[in-house]
Amino acid sequence: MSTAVEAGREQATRGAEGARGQSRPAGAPDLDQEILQEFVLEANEQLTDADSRLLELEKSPHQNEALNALFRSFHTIKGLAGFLNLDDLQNTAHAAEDLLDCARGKKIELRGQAIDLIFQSSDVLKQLVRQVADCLTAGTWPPAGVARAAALVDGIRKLVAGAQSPAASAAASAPSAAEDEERATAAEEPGMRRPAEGAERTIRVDANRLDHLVDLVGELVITESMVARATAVGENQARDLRRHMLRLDKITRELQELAGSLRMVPVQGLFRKMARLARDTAKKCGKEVSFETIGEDTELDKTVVEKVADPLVHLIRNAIDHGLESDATERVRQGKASAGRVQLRAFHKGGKIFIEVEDDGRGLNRAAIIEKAVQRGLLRKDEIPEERDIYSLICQPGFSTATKITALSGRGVGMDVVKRNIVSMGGSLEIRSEGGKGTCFAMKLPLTLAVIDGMLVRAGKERYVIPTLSVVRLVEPRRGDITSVLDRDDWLQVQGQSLPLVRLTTLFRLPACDSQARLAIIVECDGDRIAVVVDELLGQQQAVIKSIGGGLGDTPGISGCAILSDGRVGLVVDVAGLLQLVKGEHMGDAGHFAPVDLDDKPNGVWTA
Amino acid sequence: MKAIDAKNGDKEGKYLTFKLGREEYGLELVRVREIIALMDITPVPLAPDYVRGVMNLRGRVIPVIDLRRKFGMQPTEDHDRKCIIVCDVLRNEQPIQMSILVDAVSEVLHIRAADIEDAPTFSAGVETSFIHGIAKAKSGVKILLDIDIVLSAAPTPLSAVAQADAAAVTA
Repeated sequence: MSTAVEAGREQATRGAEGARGQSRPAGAPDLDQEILQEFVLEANEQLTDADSRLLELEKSPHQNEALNALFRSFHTIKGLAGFLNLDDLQNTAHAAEDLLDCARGKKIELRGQAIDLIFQSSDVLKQLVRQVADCLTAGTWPPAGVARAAALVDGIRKLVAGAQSPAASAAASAPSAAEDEERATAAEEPGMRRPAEGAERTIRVDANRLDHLVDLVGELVITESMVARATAVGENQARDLRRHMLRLDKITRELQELAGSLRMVPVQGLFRKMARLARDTAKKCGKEVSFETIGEDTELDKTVVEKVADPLVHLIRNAIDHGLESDATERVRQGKASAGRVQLRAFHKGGKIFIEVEDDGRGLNRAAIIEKAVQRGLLRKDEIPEERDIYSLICQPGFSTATKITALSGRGVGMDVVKRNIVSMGGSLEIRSEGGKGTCFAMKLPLTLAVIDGMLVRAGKERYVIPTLSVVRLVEPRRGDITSVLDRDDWLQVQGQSLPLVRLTTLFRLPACDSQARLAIIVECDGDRIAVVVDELLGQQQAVIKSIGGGLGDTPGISGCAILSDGRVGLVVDVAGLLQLVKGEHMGDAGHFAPVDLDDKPNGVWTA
Repeated sequence: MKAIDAKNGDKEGKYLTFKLGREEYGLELVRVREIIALMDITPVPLAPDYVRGVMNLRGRVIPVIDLRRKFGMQPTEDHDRKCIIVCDVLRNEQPIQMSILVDAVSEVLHIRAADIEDAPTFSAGVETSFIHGIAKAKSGVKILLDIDIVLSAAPTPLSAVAQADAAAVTA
């Protein structure tokens, strides 16, 4: 680096630091926004907590502890909302709090309409909080408000007034008791109460900072290995140095492991949301359901938790709506408890996480699925498929939405979407079922989405990571296996199948190196396969996937990047995107048959 | 005239100036994260030609935009006075870090509001929306950039800049 640069940099850094204090670049949140964001986090936490308490109370209404905790949640939200002048939130929380106070004073029993009103309050509050969050991201204000909030508050007030009026003599003292409590609790800072309860030894850290930490640790690992490989370390007289290096190496590995675990969160929060969902679904279907969760402490990467929520919602709704018998008497006749049982469990096994949804309902209708599959040409008539292959048929696109199979087997709206979501995370879905006894959907997921197994390949002068998950096999094509088509495209014969043979350098428009196709990687996505020619396989490696960043917009054929062992950025190939490129969707024109430029081979596949 | 003065009041401040061909450009210093020497950059396939690629800055992956190409100027060979300026930008209202490759970094200047003129709203062959203002300094005229617009998501807003000429925009 030249001295001019050095000086410039020094000045710039110094200047930047000085100026940064006064004015941040546009878009940095001001104080109010930060407080509001804090509020959104806190309120969401309180509401999730409230939901799980509500579910407890619904099962056994006389749990004072749960009732008190619930009261505190609404009280905290009321306090914070009042401070921030969020009137709708404050009023709704206040009404719910009043109702709960009556329950604490044994004037109202928390069941039926009363508990429903609290559930509704929780819903309305969630909506209102979401609106605040949306407004913050969109930069608009004020939030739109929720139409049913006012009616809900009225409903609660009526109920509370009704509960208080019969005991006219007690009426005068009741509100004051509530106010006393109010004053007592209000004396504490709402935000201070959680640590005071002492159970949690956690702090909330900004996710970006955490990511940055993980990035830096990754860099440390790379730098450490570079230093370790430096020639001086290998020399004889450097015994001390080597000893220190070993120690450094150990610490670095440990640090790396620790950094990786920082993003792990227990599934508890997710499971609590699902418990609430199960309750609502059961209500809607008019079924009695006992919903159990097991393994709430199981930890997995936050990104996986976020992505697994949608498939879970589907599976749980399906289990309750279709999996369980619609009539309780039918269950009793079969010797089952009248309440349907749905269990959600999570556990670790072999470096993967399993999340299972099991019901004790009627099970999948095997015969009907096979019949349907034969009709749709997915199975031959004489074919006798494996048990688990039968059930995975319901995840075929279009299969599950057919009304007949849904009515018969009771499964499957959107099962193909569920499956696709899971597969996109690098997981798999297994379905086990026994007629009359129930069905179990078992998701097997990677612990983290941040690390993938990849093959490091060279194409021209560049290196790319191809996710091992998408690789079917490697082949060394012989001349005789390659068929030329229209003098433009090449097809490769692999096990009696013709696959489009494309060079990665051509697809990516890079200068090619080798003229001969030495190594082809057969990759697959959504059942489509292509043979991708690369110049060299450099090895297998686990790669920490990073986003390529918002700065570049669309990057066809590339899903992200990874820092390679020499510190350079390696790009991760998006196999689905590659297929799109091959199909010509990114190559611009309909140039399948007419190449624009003779040197520039179109990569379209003959689709006529 | 008064209104323009008031507007240029917020433009007063420190600028990092750098060279691009025979022109001098300025970038608000608050946006500058750091300046680094040219380093290994991984090209991104099928990206526009002004995208030089992505680099690893202590574990963060940051896009590198070749400002010469972005401005439609003649590309030149790499040399060791070239450097990369990492800056904070707003893209689609998201704060992100991007970087620009420039011919050479010059100096940090404090530019007074009185020395800043508005860019003309139009110019022959040059799109001017990305020009924050024109500054007259002792060392010559600096074209102050609105880096958010320069690095905005719009595909090639500055394609017509090829004929940009410092003399043409000097008042």
